Amino acid sequence: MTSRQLLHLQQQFLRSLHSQPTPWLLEQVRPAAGFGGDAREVIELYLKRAMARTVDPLHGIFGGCRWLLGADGLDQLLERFYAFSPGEPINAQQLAYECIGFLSSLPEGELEGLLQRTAGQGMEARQAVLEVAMLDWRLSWASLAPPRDGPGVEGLRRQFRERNHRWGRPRLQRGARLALTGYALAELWLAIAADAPLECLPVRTDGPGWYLIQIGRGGVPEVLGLPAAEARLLSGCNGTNTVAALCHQESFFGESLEAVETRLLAWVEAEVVVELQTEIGGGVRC
Amino acid sequence: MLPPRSAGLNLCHENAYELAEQLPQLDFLQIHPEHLLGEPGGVYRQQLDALRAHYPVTLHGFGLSLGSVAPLQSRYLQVVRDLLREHPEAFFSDHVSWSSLSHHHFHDLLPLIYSQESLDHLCDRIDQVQEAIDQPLHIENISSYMRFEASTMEEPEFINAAAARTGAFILLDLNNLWANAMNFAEDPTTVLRSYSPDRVGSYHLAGCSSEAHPHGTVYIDYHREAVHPEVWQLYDVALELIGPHPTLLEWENDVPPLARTLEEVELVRQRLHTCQSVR
Repeated sequence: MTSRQLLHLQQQFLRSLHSQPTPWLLEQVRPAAGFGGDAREVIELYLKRAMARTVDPLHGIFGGCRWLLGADGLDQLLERFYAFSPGEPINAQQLAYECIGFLSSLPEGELEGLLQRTAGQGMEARQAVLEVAMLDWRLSWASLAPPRDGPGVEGLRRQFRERNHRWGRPRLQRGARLALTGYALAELWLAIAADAPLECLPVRTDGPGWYLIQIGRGGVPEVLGLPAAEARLLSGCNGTNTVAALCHQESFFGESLEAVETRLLAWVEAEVVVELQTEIGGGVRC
Repeated sequence: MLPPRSAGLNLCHENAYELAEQLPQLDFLQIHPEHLLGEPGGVYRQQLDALRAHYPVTLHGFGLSLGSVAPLQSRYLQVVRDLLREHPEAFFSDHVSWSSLSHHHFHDLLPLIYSQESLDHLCDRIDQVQEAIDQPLHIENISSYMRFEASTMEEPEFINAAAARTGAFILLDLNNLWANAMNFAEDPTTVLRSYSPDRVGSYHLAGCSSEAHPHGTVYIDYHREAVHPEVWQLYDVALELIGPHPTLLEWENDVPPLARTLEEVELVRQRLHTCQSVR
């Protein structure tokens, strides 16, 4: 059976997360003695705990934003996000997705007061904050993805020597991400990792370019710059395109079959291509 | 099955590195299924998998929202069932509380109304969980700073009835019991005596913080300090009245060096092995 009594109570509590507790809820609550009979005060305690537990994991993910905005600036942003968020995801990474959505919806000029480092670069403050927030999220995603359980470099070399390798489907690490940006992302990542006091964010002088974000050897996150042709090839390495399909795709750019396979093997050696899938489906560890 | 005189420690992000490095003597480690769902890879996940291969474990949830009126998450229960098959020594516990309604999360454990209507609801939910995981659930009393005017039962009566009707065991958190008794001006030993000794299957011990409010002190279970002397005394009484059961020392915030938490676990072990209860 469903308890209508509990349903009403639960709806009222959740509603109070984003507005004042209703008179009905205040009448239901009997606070502990230390609150002196003030139901509003005890509900406030729960609301503060709920906010802390929602926002705390985001501090762990948005370390680059803390570097960019300072601790107070990040706190302000996350408090505003909390007021905006319906609080649906419990998973921190999903909540971070939602937070980036919130940042992208902020009106232009909202972040100018928080951020001085973009002045004179021709970039908007919102672009800078979004860039760093997305880098934070992508690094977090890469570091929490299921570990490599593929055949290893030697195993992949062997697979590429077999006749049936052309209908194998290359793929990157499960958490690897490709990003196109006008910022010099590799340089930016190094500055964040070193907590370097930059005057302004590093911008690409030759226009937007591609980057690969993944976990490198030794479990360390890395951000690698990519030529456009390699980004195009790697974007097809998602476990759905066969080697034959990738070679066909590249033929329109004047690449021979052998040249494409050589490029793929180079990415195998660099531990960027980590699997050559042959089965349909394939489970993902919880 | 864990022996009743087992003393364990919770695994969390803060202590995982030291635990994985030192592999100290522990009778069991408590892990959260939510961490396996939320972190499919990464350093913590590697440590978690290595540690659960090394130690006997218990599974303790905080996201089941047992008292919610929204449907239970089948994916979550499937993970718990798979873990229980992998760890035959383990049991699964969660709280007599609610924290979410469908996709909306409160991010804290909120108490239920202790009425016949919500008891019927809770028992239905426990039945569903036990059917899904194919073993008895351990249901934990939470700490709370409020009660509801609509309640018609005290917390022990409510939890006893739920356990008796469903065959679930009670995970008696003695810190929560003590904190609630302090917050509502009750005698903790009297509250302890109200629980059905036959239904208790495990214990939790933890620290609790006190906050000064204009009208008095409020005790809050932040799990960031050592167990209070009064809670150790209550544990001694519980061992005598109810008997020894697997006991977990929880320390989750402001976690000190591992050696300090192990001292607390050692105190648990000493008490478990010297208690003379015949139960």
